[in-house]
Amino acid sequence: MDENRAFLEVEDLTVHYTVGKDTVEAVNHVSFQLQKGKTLGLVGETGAGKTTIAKSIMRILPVPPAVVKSGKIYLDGQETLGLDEKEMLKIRGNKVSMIFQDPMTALNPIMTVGSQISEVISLHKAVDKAGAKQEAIRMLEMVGIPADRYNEYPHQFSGGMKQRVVIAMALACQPDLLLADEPTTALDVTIQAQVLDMIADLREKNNTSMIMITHDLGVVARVCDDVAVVYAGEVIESGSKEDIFDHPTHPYTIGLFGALPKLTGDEKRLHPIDGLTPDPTHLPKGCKFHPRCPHATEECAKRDIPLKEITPGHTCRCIKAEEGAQK
Amino acid sequence: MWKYILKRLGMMVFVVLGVAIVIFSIMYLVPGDPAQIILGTSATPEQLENLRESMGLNQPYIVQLGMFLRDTFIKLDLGTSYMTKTSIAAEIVQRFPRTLTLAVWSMLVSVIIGLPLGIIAAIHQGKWQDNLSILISMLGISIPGFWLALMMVLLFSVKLRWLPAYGIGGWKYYVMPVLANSVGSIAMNARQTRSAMLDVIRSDYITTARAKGVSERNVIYRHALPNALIPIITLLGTGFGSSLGGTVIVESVFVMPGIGNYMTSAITNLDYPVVRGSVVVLAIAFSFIMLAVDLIYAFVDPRIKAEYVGR
Amino acid sequence: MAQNHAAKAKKTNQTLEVFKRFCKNPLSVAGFMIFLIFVLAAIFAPFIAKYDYTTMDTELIFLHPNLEHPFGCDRFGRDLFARVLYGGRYSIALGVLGTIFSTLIGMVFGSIAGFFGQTADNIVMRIMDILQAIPGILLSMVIATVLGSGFVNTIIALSIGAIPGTCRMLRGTILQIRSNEYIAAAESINCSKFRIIVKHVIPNTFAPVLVGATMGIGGTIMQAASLSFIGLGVQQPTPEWGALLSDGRNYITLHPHLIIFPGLAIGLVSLAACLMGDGFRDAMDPKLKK
Repeated sequence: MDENRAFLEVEDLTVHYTVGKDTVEAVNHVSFQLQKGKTLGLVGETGAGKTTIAKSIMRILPVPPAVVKSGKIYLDGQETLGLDEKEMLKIRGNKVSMIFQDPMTALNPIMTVGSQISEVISLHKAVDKAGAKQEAIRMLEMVGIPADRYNEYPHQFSGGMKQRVVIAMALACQPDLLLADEPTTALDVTIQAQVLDMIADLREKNNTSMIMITHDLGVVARVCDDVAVVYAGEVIESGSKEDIFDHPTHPYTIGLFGALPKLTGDEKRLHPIDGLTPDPTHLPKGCKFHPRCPHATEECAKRDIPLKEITPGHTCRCIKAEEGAQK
Repeated sequence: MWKYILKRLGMMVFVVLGVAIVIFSIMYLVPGDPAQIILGTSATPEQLENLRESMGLNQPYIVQLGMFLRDTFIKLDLGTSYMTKTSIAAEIVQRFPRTLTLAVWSMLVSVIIGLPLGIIAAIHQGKWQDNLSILISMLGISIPGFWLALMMVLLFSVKLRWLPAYGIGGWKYYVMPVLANSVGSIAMNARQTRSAMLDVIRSDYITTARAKGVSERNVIYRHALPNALIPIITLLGTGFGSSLGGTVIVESVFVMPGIGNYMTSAITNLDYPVVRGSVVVLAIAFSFIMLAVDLIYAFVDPRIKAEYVGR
Repeated sequence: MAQNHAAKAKKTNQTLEVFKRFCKNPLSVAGFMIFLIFVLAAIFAPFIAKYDYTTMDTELIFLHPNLEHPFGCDRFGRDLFARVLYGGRYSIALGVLGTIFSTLIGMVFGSIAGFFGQTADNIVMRIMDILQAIPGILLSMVIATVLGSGFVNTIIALSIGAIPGTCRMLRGTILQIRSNEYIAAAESINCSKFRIIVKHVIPNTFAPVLVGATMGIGGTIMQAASLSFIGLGVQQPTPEWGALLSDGRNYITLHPHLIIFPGLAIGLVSLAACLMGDGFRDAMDPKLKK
């Protein structure tokens, strides 16, 4: 055990998908850290590689087509990418668990919700069948589902209820790390807040760390401590929530916030970021964002831009930041 | 659940009656005069007229249909053969077990070989096991069963003398007919199982199961397979239909005295009541299997079960 | 006008894209080539075969394959190679036409069932329930018995036997398409039912229909051969492959070449059709493959 390491450290993670002759560079040299009990927001557009990062931590990438090209992931000081499958089975669902984006499809349609929760408990806890069932019922009640629905099937539940079941399942073994992959995107706005609060309550009891994957800056503001902005498979800016919200530095981050309408001003128009996300099979050379960047120079297309620390803990991958010339 | 079973039974009665009416009506259109077929060309016009009268052939279509339905379903009488003048129902009762044995075994073999082939292919998608399974099912679909039957006779009966080439007796007499009759269904089952498994393996709840720490083995056998089997159950019903249809050809090749063979010789001899009776019996047998399949389906899929339990 | 052009360009692009993907798969191309070779061989049979397929020669009766007669000769001393070549005309035509007709009829019934509301759907589906209770080959046999043998009669028998299957498949596809929002969009702008079917539904059934039909050709050829084999369908002296098998089956012990070659022809064409069908499916929906 390495005491100097943070609770979770992802180092230089690179994941590619091979589809026929094309290679999708989904995640490129991503590194970040997460302290025990804290929440990191992974923010970015659809297809930026956020889910791939989470699945790499869980080691549930579909291989093939996915290939982990490089990288190390340290969980509680233990490197997990090199662990054999047997060891990994003990971690999945136990130390690390995941909440998926679409509750409608995340549950097995021909198993009762109760047995799906008790399954994860019996896998990781030293309890008998009855004990697992009891614990599963306790989890159900904790997420606000009456115990008598234990034997019902997923199709008898609404979307919000299903997501509660998924959350109960993810937190049933009191994990140290929770990966929440857009847990509220598929839900009605009115239910989103409830679900987020529920996750927060359940985490508090066990001091669970969390990675919140989202493209919703409102969710970030509500639950995150730190933020990493992901664009085209790279972390382009990271720092504390305050750093990112108050001093966004990378033009893409600035664009993201610019795209939010402000209630206070009387803005007539929204400010979208021009252009489209790049084709992941043919990423642009140099800074991945330069074709859409309003401040791009010739230099931007020439070389890869490294992450540069601008203030302690706040890093940015931009040639302007490198020059120290903040916008 | 009872409500569903009752509803399904009602539907079967309707289908069976419908089948009898359709078959009767099609066969009613057969050109030629049955009286002429029975008595031959030497018969006098009076003899012909008398026979027509006694067989009810002079009655209008609807009356004949009514008589046919009454005979078939109330008296359980399928008429007499033009050729042998014997009761068709009695003949079929004697022959039916052989045809059923052949069809049921064909279906079992196609499941026992086809399903694992498809599952293995899906689990090892893109690897050699998958390619081998795809190759086998491609060949299985392309080889005509009755041709395979002839080839097997050539190899196992003529050259190696391991198996009897025709007739009926112990299990040895069933080996080649069952194989010939199931080769197409093996291939179909393997293909469908593979694609159903692939569909399921790609679905989100399988990722969920993996994320829970379920071992790969249990992901496949506890989570993926039961879900994949649901669409495959329906396939078994239609598979049994083609097994049953296939017996007609296979019995003809192996000269097995089942319903199929009865029917093919009747076709050659223009013995239409036999053709009609055989098809009706085979169709009724098929309807029973479809009923069983639907009930099993409703039992294993909670989504369908719930629809009827609640009401 | 400009929009129209764009739409057109997109459509050709899509077709081109499908074609390109089809060509990338060596198995589907192989299937297509084999099928094409069989079709061409059947069409140009008079130029390929050295002998006429009807000429009998008492000296060549049951001749086994040699260089002069690669497939040997039959019980009348007719060149089997020529007979298999000419037989392709009947077998392939039966397979293709039988499949096309059953697909067309299935499409009409499927559209009625899938589009004209509950009553029509109920009526059509109950008829299909009944027809489906009779295994397809049996239905074809009964109809072939009534109609008698012959090329056209066999096509009718094969088509009707296959209707329940195609009708169900198409109804399923149409119901699925119907639930799409673009149909609701078309209804919301007062498109007539007929127009919606012709413009929005039918074109979208094209892909699954093409795949199903291509796969079906092999099966239909086999069914046609089965009919001829038991004495229905197309009969001697027509050299349809099933009829050739039926003719040779009594001499199998001493002269196996009489059944080996026609059977191989059926198997190869079916395999080719199957490979093509798989190729179309993968090319039209690349998601399904990997």
